[in-house]
Amino acid sequence: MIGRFEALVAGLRRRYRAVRTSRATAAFFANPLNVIGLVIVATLTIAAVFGPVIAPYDPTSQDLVNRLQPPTLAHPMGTDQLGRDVFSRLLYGARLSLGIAVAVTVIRLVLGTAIGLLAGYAGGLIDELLMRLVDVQLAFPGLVLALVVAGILGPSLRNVMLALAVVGWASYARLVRSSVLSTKEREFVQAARLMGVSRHRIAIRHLLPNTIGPIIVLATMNLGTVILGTAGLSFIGLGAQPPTPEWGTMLSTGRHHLRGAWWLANAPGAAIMLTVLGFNLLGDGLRDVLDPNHDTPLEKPT
Amino acid sequence: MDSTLLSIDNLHTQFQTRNGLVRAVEGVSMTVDQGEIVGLVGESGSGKSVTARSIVGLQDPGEIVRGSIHLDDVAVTDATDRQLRRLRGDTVSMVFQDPTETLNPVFDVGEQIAESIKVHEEPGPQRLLEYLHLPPFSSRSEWREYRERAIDLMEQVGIASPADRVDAYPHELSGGQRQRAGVAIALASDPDLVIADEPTTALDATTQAQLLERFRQYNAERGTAILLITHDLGVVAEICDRVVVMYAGEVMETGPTERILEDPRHPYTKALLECLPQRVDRESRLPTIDGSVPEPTADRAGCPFAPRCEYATAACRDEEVPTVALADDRGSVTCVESNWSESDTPPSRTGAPGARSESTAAPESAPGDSDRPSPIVELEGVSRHYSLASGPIERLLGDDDTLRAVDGVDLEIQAGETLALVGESGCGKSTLASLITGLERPTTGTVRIDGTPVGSVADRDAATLTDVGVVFQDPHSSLNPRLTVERTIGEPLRSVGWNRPRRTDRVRELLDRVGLSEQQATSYPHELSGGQIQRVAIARAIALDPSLVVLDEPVSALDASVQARLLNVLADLQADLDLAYLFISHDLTVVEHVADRVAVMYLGELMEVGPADRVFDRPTHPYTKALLEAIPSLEPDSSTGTSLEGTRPSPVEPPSGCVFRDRCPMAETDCAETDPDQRRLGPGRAKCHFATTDASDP
Repeated sequence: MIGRFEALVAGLRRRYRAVRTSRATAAFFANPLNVIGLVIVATLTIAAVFGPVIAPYDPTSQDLVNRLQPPTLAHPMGTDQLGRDVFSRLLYGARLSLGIAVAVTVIRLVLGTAIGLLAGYAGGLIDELLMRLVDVQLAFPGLVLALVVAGILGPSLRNVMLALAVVGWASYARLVRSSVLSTKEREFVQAARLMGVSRHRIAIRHLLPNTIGPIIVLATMNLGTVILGTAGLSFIGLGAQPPTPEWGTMLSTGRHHLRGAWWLANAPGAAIMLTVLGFNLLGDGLRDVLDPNHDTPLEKPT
Repeated sequence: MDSTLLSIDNLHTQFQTRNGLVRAVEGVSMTVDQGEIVGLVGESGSGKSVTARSIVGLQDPGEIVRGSIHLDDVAVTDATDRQLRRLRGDTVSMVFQDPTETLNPVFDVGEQIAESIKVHEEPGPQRLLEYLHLPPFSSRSEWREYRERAIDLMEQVGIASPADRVDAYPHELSGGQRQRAGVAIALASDPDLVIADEPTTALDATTQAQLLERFRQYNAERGTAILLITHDLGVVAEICDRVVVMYAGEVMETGPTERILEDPRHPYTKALLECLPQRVDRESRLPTIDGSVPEPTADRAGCPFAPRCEYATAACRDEEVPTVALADDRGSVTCVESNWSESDTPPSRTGAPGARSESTAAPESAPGDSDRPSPIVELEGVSRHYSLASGPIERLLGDDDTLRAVDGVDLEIQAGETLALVGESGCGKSTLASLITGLERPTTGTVRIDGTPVGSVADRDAATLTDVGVVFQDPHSSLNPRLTVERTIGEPLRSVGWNRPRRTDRVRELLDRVGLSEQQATSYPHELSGGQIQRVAIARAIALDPSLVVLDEPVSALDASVQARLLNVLADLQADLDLAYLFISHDLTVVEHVADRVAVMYLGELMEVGPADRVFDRPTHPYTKALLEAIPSLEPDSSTGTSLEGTRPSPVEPPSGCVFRDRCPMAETDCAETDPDQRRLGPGRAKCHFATTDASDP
């Protein structure tokens, strides 16, 4: 038992060393844009996790005496029309936005990957049916469909989540299917078939791990767009409802005070922009590292 | 010396990488005279290609840090871009290894050759508009002239019916034709020196022989010097006047081809020659070179070959090694020990001959013996046809073109024997292997394993599946990059339900059998070399004690010394485990070394089947003879006989009668009318009208 634990630790340490010294890691950090992306995303994650600890005020407590205060030391980003601290609301909003983004992306990823894997590996009629479903899904403009879904289900954050999850999985399915189709023809998969490895196991152990690279890239980019989508739906009133500190809702109320209190709309706007930018930069960086097309050579020179 | 065309003096080329400085070329000095064919030989990673690229100034991203290159009295290292450009066209041109990569897929080959001619004749500014062939900027008729000259050039490099091929796009040509087009582009400017970087490595033996013949002709007619880079000493023996042997970025030995082949002075050259299967008796082990090429990043002193050299002394390891010039223009040797005599027998080499003698000595029983054991695999009239109709509509319209990948094959594999399947690429060797392993299902005919008819993988039971192991060709794709060696080898064991400790033990045993250390169990494929990956693939194939292992070109992607070690591993395994091998290869020298029986395939049909020594010594089928003649021989003075002309017909429309007749030197009218039967000739059989008469030839 102890021996196995030690072996596990040794294995993990080995993997860590391999990752730390790998060419991929070095290539990632060689580009300053990748580092900027990573820093933005890391900051956002820290802000979301430790938001309640950092935030100086309760995001919903009103202080009508100090309403529409410009940025000061006490209120680094000023206060809104009800005297709530914008900085605190922004931190809580990060928590919400990131949580939704992760949840939506995970749903999309799992759904899309499962469908793509099934379609690519099973082939034939199943493939045809599933891919036509994907075509139908891709034929609808995503945000419009989400609008319709959220509109039908009624305005709430949960419904926005559902709406966004339902519209985005098709690109994952396509990506996974195409990479399964090419991996399926590689010799190690044929070797596994010849050794009597079950279909189930071939799909999980051989095909899936080899499709993971491009999926991680897509998911990272997607986190940004989902945050944008959530904010957009909230902005038009279909998502989070007023007392909730959500970036889209804040933007929406802030636009009434654009003349007198510019910070109200600009703080959440800048947060959204920086977040999406951060995820896109990180995604680009990951693509450079994970893309099989410019992979580091598999084989050492003999 | 005014006849010297190219002289390289103490060239150092380095690459700055993340892992430190890579010294690819470390002090190479060599010359090429006018009208001379020089071979540059060495294992992969020895710096051959970097040397060649440095000559034409294409060493990027590397950097020439020391030394000089003089090409036609111009110093390449100091030349301006303009000078270099002129030099590249007029004086030197290059043929690359992979013709698929060299030709631009969006232009037809005539266009690309014509462009090369035009650039050479009008070296001025090359304006884009001229190349668009729009009437006001350039005249179409002028261009037509260039294209006509391209046709001439294509004829010179041996492309059949060039007038038809001139409009073909690269993907419409076969590999050999593409490489010829590449050669035509290189020759378009009528250069003084052609640098050919592994020009025939990707080609079949027959195509290689044709192309080498063209090089030789061109050299004789025009006096063009050729620098031929290759890892194949057979090719060198075939056409080169002089040889330069490289190792780890340094020149080990130079000299006339004859002297190098007959009387190699440097231990590395000797070892390289000894690894070649054609130099070793059929039943004995191949000598190998221990160790591997040193990491080019490491600092080193003394001779780079010292760690692998059996003559090495302390002086070799620490001191600067002198280059000794041999008398009478016999070249030079960079070795401390260069003065030992030829009669010296090398001290204990790994795997002295005879170690394997008892294992494969048992000759397989001749067909017709009554007490013959039942074969492991039997193929009876097996065919695999692919329908080319691309959809239900075409199928309805009755467009039923079929591609005959395998056609009417009868074959059996006995327990413990090595059956080699040889033929040019595209002849259906791999499809036949897939039919045996079950990746394909035969269109007609039956495949029997241990006497029971079997279908494809899905229909086979576990026992049948474990009976056949497979090793694939490409080290890049035969292992899952995301699984460790241990997991990869353990996978077949897991699929039959072994528990973990039992698997671990078995994996350890298998690693030991194929000559890998236990530490490598936790490695991932990208951490292994090509030879090691193939060992892992072999371990996986034998994990469940199969009685047959299908080896699909297992060594063709490997260097000679690595290949020799792998062949020895295979021989040991066969002796210990009583395995039968189906050994698929296009390399007849390897086949001659390993095979008990040989089956020759052409356009999906078996042309000749027989015991190896009989097929190699007294081939009965004209196709087998042609294949054998195409092997580059190591005898420097022997010239190949008539090599096979023409290209392989399409398997969609095979010739009537005998499929080989349109390339057969002996074909007569009868061949076109009747398809010959398989004829039994002693222990073998052949599919030819002439087979009997030929067999009686002395």
